[in-house]
Amino acid sequence: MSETNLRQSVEDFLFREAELLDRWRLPEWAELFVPDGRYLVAPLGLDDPASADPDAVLFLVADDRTRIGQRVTRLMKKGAHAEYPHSRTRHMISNVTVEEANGEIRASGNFATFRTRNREVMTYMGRVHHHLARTAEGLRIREKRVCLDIELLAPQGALAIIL
Amino acid sequence: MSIATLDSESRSGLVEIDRRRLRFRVDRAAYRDDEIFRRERATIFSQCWLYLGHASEIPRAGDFVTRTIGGYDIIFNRNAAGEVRAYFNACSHRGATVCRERSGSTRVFTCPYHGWVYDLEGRLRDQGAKGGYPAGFNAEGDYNLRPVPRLETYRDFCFVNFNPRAIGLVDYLADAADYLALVADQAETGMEVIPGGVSLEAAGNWKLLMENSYDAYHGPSLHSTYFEFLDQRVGGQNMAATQMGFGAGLGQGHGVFELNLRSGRPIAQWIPPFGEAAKPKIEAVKARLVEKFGQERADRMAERQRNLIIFPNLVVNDNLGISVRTVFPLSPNRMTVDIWILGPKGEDPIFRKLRLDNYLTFVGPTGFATPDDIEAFALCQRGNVHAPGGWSDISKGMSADEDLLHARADFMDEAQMRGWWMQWDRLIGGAETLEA
Repeated sequence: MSETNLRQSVEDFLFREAELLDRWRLPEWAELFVPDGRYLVAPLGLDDPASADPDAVLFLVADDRTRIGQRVTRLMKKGAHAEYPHSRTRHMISNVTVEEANGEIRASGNFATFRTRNREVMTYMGRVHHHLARTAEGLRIREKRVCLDIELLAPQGALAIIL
Repeated sequence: MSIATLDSESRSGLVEIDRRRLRFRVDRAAYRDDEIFRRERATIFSQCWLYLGHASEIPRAGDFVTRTIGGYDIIFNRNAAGEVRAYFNACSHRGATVCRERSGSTRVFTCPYHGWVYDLEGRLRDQGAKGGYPAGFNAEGDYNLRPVPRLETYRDFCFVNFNPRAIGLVDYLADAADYLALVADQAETGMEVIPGGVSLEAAGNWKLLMENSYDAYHGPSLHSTYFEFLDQRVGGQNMAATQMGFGAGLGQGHGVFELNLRSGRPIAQWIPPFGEAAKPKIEAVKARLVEKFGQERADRMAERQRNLIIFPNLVVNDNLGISVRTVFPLSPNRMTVDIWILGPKGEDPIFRKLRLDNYLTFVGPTGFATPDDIEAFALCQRGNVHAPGGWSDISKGMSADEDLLHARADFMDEAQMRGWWMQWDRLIGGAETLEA
């Protein structure tokens, strides 16, 4: 596959992922991960969040596939008060670069996720790195690592949505 | 009915203490009023010992962190002799912020404006443009960085006080000191702050977070989704129903609740999700605690969970992991929160992983519970501001002859919270100055 075609197919996948999140089709989003897939949000304020080890330093989120499912289960309940009623979000991703080596695709892009709820609009921004696997069902996520640029959760206060 | 006719115990006029009807209530003006916010700064945040940071955050000579404590910008650093220091982060020349980094290591602090240079003791070493100043310009040290009036450390927890005449830290900590010791004693190597702490700003009066931090009975309602997750994780127990414990005031407004909750901890309570490989290691840690501290204290450290509040604004959650939080008001309606987690220095990587994993399920702003607390603060503040008058009820478990600063009741009650409010009331009302 040419580099351009590879990037286009990866971007199509990332756009589909963003759409599932924005439409709160979270159980389907969770299915995008392979059984040993991980969803990570690196700590704020690190010099090199892309290489930080979630077993050694405190991440904002360090979910294995089981925890991803539990997070989704929780967020779909009315008892997840921080997201009830659900916020509206727009997950944007651009400046995507893609490389493929040893059967794994590594994609990185700039992202901005806008969230609005209760008359407030807030932005989560940074860079997101996906490790993708080719499977019989198409591309699947082995690791999604979100590296936020913000220094502190202000004005957001918390991070309950999935980035 | 006015407060005065009910009871004269309140010094601020904002707390209703009705021992006949077993009613303890706070006027919601305390959460929304600009004048109260200013009085809190002038009394509580200017007279109490305030947590600054943990000694492990600045392990070597020259290390520093900067943070804002009680509205003041502070440099917290370690001098050449290895002692901790705290200075106001403002140039003695024109007031510019001298140190603009959040953390680092340095031999001097240089003001970016005119290039005034200070050493690790805050002494002015160089003024950049020296011409035009008389000889002996800083002979009396007037132009050194101003040290914070008081800085004292207990078991690596460093506190500041802006009142030079304040009582000492250990007297201030009262019965809460032993609870800090329970944390510090969990590692023979000493405890350290683990990288990855987080700061946030949230809607709501800062006191809402303090109340929330040792209010055990909001768990089953507000955090139903967390308890459902936890029940599944530990294999079908109803976790919300198996808790037993007490809540108590510890003097000076400090308080705690302590309970049995089998949610597991690397020091030292094994649960099945930790895996068989970790079991003998955790049991060995427990055995060492028993050997060192005796069965009873070792059981408290390993088997019981605590939420400790040190008045006015320090939270130490000694439960799933160990997390330390401070909260400061930015305005009556907005707070800023800093969160750190602690673990033993040189901790076994297996334990460190368990500790981080355990923490992440609940306590952080991205966990399965804290975001819902933050939502609750915003909802309470809306009611405080957008509903007329109103009183917040803090009566649960009250007894008629209760010594409000030292009351003890079930952990699902609010004795610990009443102790906090009594100290707040005494300071706001001028009945307590915490001076020697």
